[in-house]
Amino acid sequence: MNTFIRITTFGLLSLLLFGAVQSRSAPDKYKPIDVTSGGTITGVVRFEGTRPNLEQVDIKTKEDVCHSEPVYSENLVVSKEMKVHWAVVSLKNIKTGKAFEEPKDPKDRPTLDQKGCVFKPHIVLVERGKPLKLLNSDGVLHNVHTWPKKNRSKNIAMPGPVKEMTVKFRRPERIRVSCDIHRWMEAWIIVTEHPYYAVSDEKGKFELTDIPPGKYTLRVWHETLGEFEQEVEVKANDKTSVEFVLSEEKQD
Amino acid sequence: MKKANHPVKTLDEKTDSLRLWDISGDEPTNIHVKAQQRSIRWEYFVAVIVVIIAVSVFFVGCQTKGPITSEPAMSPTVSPGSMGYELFQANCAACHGTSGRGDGIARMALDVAPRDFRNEPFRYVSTLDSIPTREDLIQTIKHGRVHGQMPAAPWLSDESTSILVDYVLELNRLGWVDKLTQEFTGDEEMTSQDIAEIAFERVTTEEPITLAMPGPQFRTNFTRGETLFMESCTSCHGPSGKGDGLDMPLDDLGRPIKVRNLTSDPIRGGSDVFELYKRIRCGVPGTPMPAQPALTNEQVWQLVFYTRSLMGQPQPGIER
Repeated sequence: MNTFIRITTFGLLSLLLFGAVQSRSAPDKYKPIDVTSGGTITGVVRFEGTRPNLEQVDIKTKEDVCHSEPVYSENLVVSKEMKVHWAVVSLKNIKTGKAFEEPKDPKDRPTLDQKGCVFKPHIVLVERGKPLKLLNSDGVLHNVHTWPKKNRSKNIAMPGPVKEMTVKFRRPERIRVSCDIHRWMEAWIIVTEHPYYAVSDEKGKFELTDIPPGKYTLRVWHETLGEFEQEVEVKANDKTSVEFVLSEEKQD
Repeated sequence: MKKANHPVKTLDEKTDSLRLWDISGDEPTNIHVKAQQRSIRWEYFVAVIVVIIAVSVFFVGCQTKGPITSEPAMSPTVSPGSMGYELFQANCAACHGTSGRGDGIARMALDVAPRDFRNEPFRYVSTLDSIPTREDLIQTIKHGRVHGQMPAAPWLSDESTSILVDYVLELNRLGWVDKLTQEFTGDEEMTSQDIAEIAFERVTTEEPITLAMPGPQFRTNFTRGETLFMESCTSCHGPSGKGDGLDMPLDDLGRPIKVRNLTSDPIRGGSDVFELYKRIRCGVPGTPMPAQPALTNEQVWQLVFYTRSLMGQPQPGIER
């Protein structure tokens, strides 16, 4: 009987140990380090195909503030030079690198404004767990309705007199944001796990700085065109130029 | 309806261990014991069994860590034969369907679609993150949502109600597991464990509100109420509360819905002041109606009484 008890105890203990080991191994999180002589990636996102026209939104609401300027859909903005605006470029699977920069001026903190019944900017980057400022510059009721997949979902009213609120998101992901009252309003909150994220400007340009030298996978995501990747090598104190070519056919 | 004799806790305690077996799909290993001859000491069999168990547990552990598997999520809480299952079939399945997808046999006779527990958010909450508390669900089950055609169930004991709450929350959690598994299969950055965590978060509220009474200085003020209503409600409910502010509103699943006409429609969540307070403060998840975390307690109470006045309700004192 003693042997039995001994064997059983041993068995149960080993089970517990296995269980503990299995549940403890958390996924590798991004670790900030001092980056000296880091490299830079600059690049441009180009569109291939027939240039899509900007679509003006037909605004039905009577609220004057929504008619202050013509509103265009920002789902696919391509410049005359065929460059793609609002593409999100990031380094995939980077585990160590520079720390997030805390903006000196609180005004420079990540902000999503509601102005002229348009979310501004169309795409905003925010570090996970850090506050995202929501502004209502319009003085009419807006609601910030988020459609996350990994985070808790929120639908928050911002009545006219409420000028500022903050929200936080714990898990990195791309979250679509809408307003139920003004249905053309759409934005994306990109919750980031590391600072190597950039959004292409109206000339399709982007830049990532202070990257520890090494080989990386660079990822671009566009809400209409989809997701693409390419390999890049970053050298110390050097600039690497990259071009992404996106087309509607390549979309998955 | 089967009688509930053993307490719920037993079910819950078993959950983890049973779940492991469900995933591994192994048959109980005792079968091998009889096939062996008695000449070898029986302790060795025990040792062998323990090793087999340890190894299979190890592999099950590996599975939950690795890439997402598309195995259907199982749970003893909702499997046939469990207390929750029996209670649900007896009391809820006629409308909500045997598997809780809102497709019960009585559905055709209803004007309102019964809640699909696997794919829809719960509507009547007292939290700011769109997730009901247990008390919210207990209230819905016990008192019903009369104007939404859900009947009250006064015959259910507190224990049975509590088991049903576990049951629908578990259906909702499993619905999330399925949805997320579908969404993220092939995504190398997500594991089955991540999905399990997210699904758990989606049924576990972090922001319950406290239903604070108005202060002693509070007086209902029609003008203030009206101003607040204009600022926060008319965009959808219309300037006079007739539900004519929003053009073709949709719910979260893209189905057309009606904005409540506050002057004539029955209020599904209940029109007593406390229920109105919760709807205004917390919104109605799954619909365009947002939460109002920015309003002060006093402002919400002004809106409650202004809304009551639109309904043609006398202005009551605060009493239960």
